Amino acid sequence: MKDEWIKKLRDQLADYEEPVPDELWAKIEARLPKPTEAPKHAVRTIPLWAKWTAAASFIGIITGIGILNWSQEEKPSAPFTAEVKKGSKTPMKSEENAVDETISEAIVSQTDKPMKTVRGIDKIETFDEIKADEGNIAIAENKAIEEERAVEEKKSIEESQTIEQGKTIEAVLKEQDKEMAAIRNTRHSKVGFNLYASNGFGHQTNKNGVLMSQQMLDNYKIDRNLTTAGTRADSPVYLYNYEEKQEHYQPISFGLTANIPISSAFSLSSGVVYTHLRSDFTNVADYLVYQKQMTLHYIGIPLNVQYHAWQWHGLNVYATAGAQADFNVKVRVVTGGTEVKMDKDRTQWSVGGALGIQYDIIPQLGVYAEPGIKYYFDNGSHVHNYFKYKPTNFNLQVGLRLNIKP
Amino acid sequence: MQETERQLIDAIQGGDREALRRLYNRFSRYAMAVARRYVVEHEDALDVVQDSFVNILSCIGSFDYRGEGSLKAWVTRIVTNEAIDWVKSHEGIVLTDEIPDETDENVPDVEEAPPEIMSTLIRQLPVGCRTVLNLHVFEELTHKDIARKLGISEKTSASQFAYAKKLLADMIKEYLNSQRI
Repeated sequence: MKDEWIKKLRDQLADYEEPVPDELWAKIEARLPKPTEAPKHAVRTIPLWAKWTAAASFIGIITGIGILNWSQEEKPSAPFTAEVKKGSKTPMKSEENAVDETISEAIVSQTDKPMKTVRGIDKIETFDEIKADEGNIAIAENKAIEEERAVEEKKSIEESQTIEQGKTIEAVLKEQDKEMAAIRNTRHSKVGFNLYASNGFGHQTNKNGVLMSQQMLDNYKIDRNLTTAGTRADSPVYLYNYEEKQEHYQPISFGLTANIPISSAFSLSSGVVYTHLRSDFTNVADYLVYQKQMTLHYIGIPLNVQYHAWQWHGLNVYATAGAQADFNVKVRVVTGGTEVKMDKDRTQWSVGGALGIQYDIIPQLGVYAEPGIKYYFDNGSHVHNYFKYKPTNFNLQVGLRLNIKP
Repeated sequence: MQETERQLIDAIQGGDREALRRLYNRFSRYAMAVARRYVVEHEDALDVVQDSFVNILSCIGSFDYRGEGSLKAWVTRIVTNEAIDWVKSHEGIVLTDEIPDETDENVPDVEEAPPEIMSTLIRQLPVGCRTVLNLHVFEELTHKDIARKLGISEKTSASQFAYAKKLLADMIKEYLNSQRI
């Protein structure tokens, strides 16, 4: 009965209107903020296709330079590599100590045949000397034999090399040093492809009052002297019963990047990174609760420099630093089950650094982890997201690295 | 065919300045009717509507569309808040301790009085019970919410509503009697 009376009264006045004078609009319009001269989004005029084209071109150029660089480095090493394989008992190893052993074996292999000839002559001469010195004990004899043999061996190597190959020993050693360096570089000369996932740590929650605008303050003619004692005259005034809560979840990224070696210790990496960002907003406006979920999708182009600091067997420790540009390709805002139109975020720039550790399961494939830190610059947009509220962000990137030797 | 609320919001948020005027034309008379339920004087109600639309049109960029009707509800809520703030600052919410008799059995049918008369009768109620009645009937707030909003007890809100209902019933009867003469 009571509720029915309320409903009837509400319905009775549901569409009831009262006239307003014509001049009221002019008064309202005069108090509205003037539209700005510049177009709202004049700075974001680069179309999406242009961004993708630029990204693809960039990756192509970097990859091309890397492959060209790699090819030029590879050429002189080819004959030596063949020689090493011939002389070595085991297939070429990727580790430095293994390389050293292989090179030693190669040298022995090169000099094996002439040495036997020299040893034969040397043996006769030494035996004559031993016979002449009857008082020497056997150990001293053997020692002297070995020392002389070593001297003669070196001499015979020089001679045999000069005679048989037309090269001096210095030239050979110099060439070997060069080739050894090339083999050391082989590890980093491989073009690496990385497939990874990354996320930041923790999520950000903010709960704020809603400030009353200056215009509203003026409208209400609020006497600040009546506010709480000790409150400054210019202190902000919050709207009664208005509250805003923002929850920004940690970003999640998936990427595919390529490593291009630029020297024995340094390499460049770039590629494409997808980043997913989600934020929840809860606005309490005078007992009305508005909930909004915002999902931002970014495609990013990273450019990093890696310094390979240390390696042992299949383990590789390195440091990496660089910058990244993330382009917001899609934004989805849902409130009350309805999708709301919203402008995309501006380009998000960031810089970062990380320490990386990689373990090669097989020579062609490694797993790696990169704990690092990133700083996101304020892009000046009005989009509230994780990057705005937590610009410095610790993250962990884990992934697979494919070492391809073209 | 009338522009939908969604189309109107899209136009405004897309930078169409004329759309602001269309929003005003669409809701200003309804806003005036809402303001007049709270504020007795016509000129004062006009001030409330003016302030309300300045805020509505200034903040429309942050409005979250939640389906057809959500814009009207948002406009109504802002006008209501402006009106209550005006009443608080100019009249003050004065509450009476009078506890009404049971009136349910003698309440006349509100549909017997036309809307403009009902609006006039409501504004003739004492300010305290008028505010509570408006919030409870038209804003559909519970007495608990009204108590929080006005800084009174839940019981006081309920008794103020009953008092408003009794007074309104008496006024409707009086109006109907005057029509029969």
